[in-house]
Amino acid sequence: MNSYRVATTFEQCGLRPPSTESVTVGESDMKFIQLKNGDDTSLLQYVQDGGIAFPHILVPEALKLRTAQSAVSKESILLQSELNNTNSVAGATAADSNGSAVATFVNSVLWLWNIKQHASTFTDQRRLDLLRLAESCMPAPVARIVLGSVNGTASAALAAQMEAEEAEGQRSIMTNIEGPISCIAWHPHRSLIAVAHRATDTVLLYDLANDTWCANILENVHMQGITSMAWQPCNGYTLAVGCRSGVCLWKLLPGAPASGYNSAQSATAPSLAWMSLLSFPPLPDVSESALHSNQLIPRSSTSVSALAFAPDGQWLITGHQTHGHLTVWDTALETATPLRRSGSTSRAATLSISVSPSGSYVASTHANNQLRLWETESWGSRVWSDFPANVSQLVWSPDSRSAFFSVVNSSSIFALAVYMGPPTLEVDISVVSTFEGHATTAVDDATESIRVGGAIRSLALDPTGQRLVAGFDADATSSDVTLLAAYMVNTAPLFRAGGDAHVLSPLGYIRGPNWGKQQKPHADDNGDGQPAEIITQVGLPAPVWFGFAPTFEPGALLTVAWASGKVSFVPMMFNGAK
Amino acid sequence: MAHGTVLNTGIASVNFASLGDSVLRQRTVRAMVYELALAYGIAVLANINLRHGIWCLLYAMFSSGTFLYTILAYVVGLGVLTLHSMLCYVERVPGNGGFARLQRLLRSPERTLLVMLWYMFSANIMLFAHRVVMGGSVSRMWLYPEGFYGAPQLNPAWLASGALATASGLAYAVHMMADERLQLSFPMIEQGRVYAFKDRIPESFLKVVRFARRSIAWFWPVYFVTGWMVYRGACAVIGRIMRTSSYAVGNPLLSPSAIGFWLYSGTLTVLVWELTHQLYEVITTQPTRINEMSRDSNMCLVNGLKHTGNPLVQHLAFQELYRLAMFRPAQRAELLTDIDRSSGSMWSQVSKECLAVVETARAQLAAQNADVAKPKVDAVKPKATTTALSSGNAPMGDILRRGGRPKPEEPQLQPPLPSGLIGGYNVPPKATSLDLFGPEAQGFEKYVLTKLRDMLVQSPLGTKLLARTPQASSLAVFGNFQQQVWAVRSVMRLVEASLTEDSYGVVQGDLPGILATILGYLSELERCVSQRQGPAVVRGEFVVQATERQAHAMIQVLRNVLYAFVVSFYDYLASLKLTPEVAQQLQAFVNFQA
Repeated sequence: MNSYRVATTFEQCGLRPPSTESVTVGESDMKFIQLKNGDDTSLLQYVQDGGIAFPHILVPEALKLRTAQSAVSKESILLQSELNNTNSVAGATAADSNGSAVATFVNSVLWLWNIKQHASTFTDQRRLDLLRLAESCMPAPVARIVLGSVNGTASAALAAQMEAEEAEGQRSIMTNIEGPISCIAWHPHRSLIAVAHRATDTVLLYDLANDTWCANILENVHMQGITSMAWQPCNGYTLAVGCRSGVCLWKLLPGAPASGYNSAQSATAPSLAWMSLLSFPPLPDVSESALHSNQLIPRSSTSVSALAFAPDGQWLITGHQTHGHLTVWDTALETATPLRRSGSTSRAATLSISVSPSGSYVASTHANNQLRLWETESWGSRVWSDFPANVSQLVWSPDSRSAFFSVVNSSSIFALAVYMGPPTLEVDISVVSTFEGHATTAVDDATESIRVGGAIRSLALDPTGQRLVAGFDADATSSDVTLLAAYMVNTAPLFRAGGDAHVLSPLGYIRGPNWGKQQKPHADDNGDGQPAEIITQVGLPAPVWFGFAPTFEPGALLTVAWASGKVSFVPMMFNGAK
Repeated sequence: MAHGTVLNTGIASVNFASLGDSVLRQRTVRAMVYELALAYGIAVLANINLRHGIWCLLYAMFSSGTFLYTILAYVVGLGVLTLHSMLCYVERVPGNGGFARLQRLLRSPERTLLVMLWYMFSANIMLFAHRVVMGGSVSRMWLYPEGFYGAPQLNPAWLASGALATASGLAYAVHMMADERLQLSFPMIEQGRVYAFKDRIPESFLKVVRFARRSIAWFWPVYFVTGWMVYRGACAVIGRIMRTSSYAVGNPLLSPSAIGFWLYSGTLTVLVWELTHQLYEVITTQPTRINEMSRDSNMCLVNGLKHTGNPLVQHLAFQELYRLAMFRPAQRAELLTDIDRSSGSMWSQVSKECLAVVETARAQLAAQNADVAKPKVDAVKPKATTTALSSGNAPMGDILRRGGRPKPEEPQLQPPLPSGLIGGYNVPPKATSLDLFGPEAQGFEKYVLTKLRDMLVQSPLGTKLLARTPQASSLAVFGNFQQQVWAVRSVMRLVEASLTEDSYGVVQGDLPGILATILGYLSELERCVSQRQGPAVVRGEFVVQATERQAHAMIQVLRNVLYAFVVSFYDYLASLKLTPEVAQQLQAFVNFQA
């Protein structure tokens, strides 16, 4: 691994972060516009210069869903989500208030139901204990073979193991996720984003063209523990959602009535949504009881941790939470082909998958610090295992010749350069930038000291390959993780021998909307029984997900989901088109 | 030819089939070598004896029993390879219901019988040999009564193992036939054969374990209940032929070690079958580069696409075209610029062959859709009686009448064609119509089937089951489903690539025709789905909607390629000279409303 062509630092370029009370609106003339305390002079100037200001979207912490009508068949699990249906909860409340015989009857039924539920829970718990005991006495695979008829319980033991590993500090896909949003997916051809809601395990759709939420809320009993999402390219409105059951493949038919396909209504109108469940190995048939009860689905070998589509939408590749194997799906035929190369234990679980824009390469990162690069013609692979910690998701340049990534607990940005075309894997990895944690003053408030930099958590590269954004990890240095660092990218030096040009050049900082001022006890409470001193601070949400819109003519459009539930859009205008 | 190697000096021949034969022959040799390694691995597994402690593996690797078992497993494996190369087919016989499974068993009784006989025979041989290798009391065929000088008695263990072997062989044969395992499943992605095989091993083991579990659940309870009775019956029969002891010799049926051994041995036998089948499928369906062996690779490929003698060869040609279109830009460009031919440009020949596949399916589906759309006169007819059935007016008679091909007088196996993996390759039953028994029904088989038919049609259930449904006829369109997928994806990928690689503009003129064909097929498929899908049923919070998998899958494939076309050609769509109908259909894709 080489370590050259390291960029100059932000401090050397004279770039300082905005104060905590600021918010970034966008980039214009290679400068980020920050707003502070309602001062809209900068915003006015920005708009006059042709800048576009996007309003924030707010996703609430809790959603009160009305009923959803869903559908299942032997071959595919289908769901129709219509918000205008009768609310069954309201119906139950009305029955309670009727009193007398009806109320007595309802109460009796509820009592009996509760007894049944308690008995069922007790039985399940005993069975789980028994199976765990059995699994502790014999190797897990043998236990699975012997007790395999109860797929869920065997998997529960695996899930417990996984959780124990997480507790030991193992890197997991679920760590660092906070706030109501799990992840976001941009539609590749439309101004539509899908937002996964963590608390309710639902997917919300936001139509940016009409600036409104779509009426459909995608929900299904199989869709629990959403970890990843992606829209299928070149296939209308097909959304793949990775969750514990596998992949929920949603097909939205905009404005279509229940009996037909063709319609020409807006995407925001209530529409038919069908869901197919792709799970490998196949899950047992969906039982009648499972359809009626929202029972918790445990992690199993089918649970998906990451997924990505081929650029032509012909195949989908998924990584799993309990092992390192990948699965390639033909989404039309719904057939799966396993790729068993990485480890079979949860220590090798897949953390991320990214497909190059040309579809020639796939990069997968695993919880055993592995980075694996695949070529997609004959699915040969090359693996790097010498990283000190887990590797973050790779972000590919538009020409598919280079990619950037970071390593957990490291402040370096790495570049992977592909020297020969596919199917060869002639690749070199080098460090192209380092952002050590340090304290500096705010650009608009010299009295405010802000600690920036440190371990890089994730990266995002815009589709034109000119802007790279880095997010930081909360670590012992207590850096301001709410800041994002933006770089200008020039990948040419990666392929030039002896060049002194930088691959990454610092551009500025991006700060999201704050929580507002909050009061909380002072951290230095001496424990002498006296009430802790209450201090007032600006609440700073961390970014839980960020990425770029697939197309944005003036330049690039960064989308950031903050822990506060806000989704902000930061336009970067560098194409000259205003 | 080594994988990934492009030959610069090719052969003058452009006969794809003959070149394909040499490739398949090489694969035959490879399969036999791999089979040997496989047999040795299973033999080691069979001979591991934990009494040898930590050296058990080393001991098993070099024991004489291992070598004997290797030979046996190899012979059985070669038998499976030969059988599969004779009987496996590439065209799908769609349908996954219980009755469809029964149909597959009855469609070609000779094939079913052959498969059953082979698996039963090989299971008995394997269990016998394993018993001999392992030795001990289990291996003795005759047991002598202790403390008496007298005639021997048949060892009950022999009967048990024979019954288990026969039942296992029968069950596995039925599974292979009914679950369409003999239909070759082409891989979605190309991997090295070692990786492709390795990736299938866990599923194979799971299948084998499931098989063993089912044998415990089904075979052993039945055997314990009826075994002793059967044993005494067998002894009585043997007693008629030879003198047997009248003294009891114990009841080894209740020996846990014997049961464990049978289970172990049976599982290993199924493992040999299963892994051999996977090996055969991996090697046979692995993508080829046959066209690159010829000096005129494009013409060779076209020759393969046109080849109709062997469906496997034609499938390999379409698979090769698909991989060329997807992954080999140099050859793709060469194909698009190859215009100096007396028979027309290479592009036009390739696209013609691809579109012919789509057009045939579209025409079939259109005819069926039109049939469904007609008022159903039959629906108001009174229920057919047995007399009416024998005169050919009933659904069953209708099925047999639509057999198509004239039938020879004597029953005979179809001769294998010389292009299979080992020995030959049998032409699969054509799925042009979903006949119950197929056109192969003849001679004794015909007699049996007729009797069966009479028995079935006398019951209302039989009449209902054997009626020709619209769903069944629509499924027949997808007999060459995989070929259709490759044809559509290949031709549309070439169209997309033509944006940058078509120097002479040969593709542009064909675009309206290609789009009309693809959109026409999509329309027919959507009509088919809307006409045939049953009403949705509300079940709790869910609505149950049965779907036709093949039709839905093909709709997804067509939409995918059409969206990809629209995205690629977005800036040039206005300049395409499309008919108003095609333009209107394409507009839905432009608006993302399809």
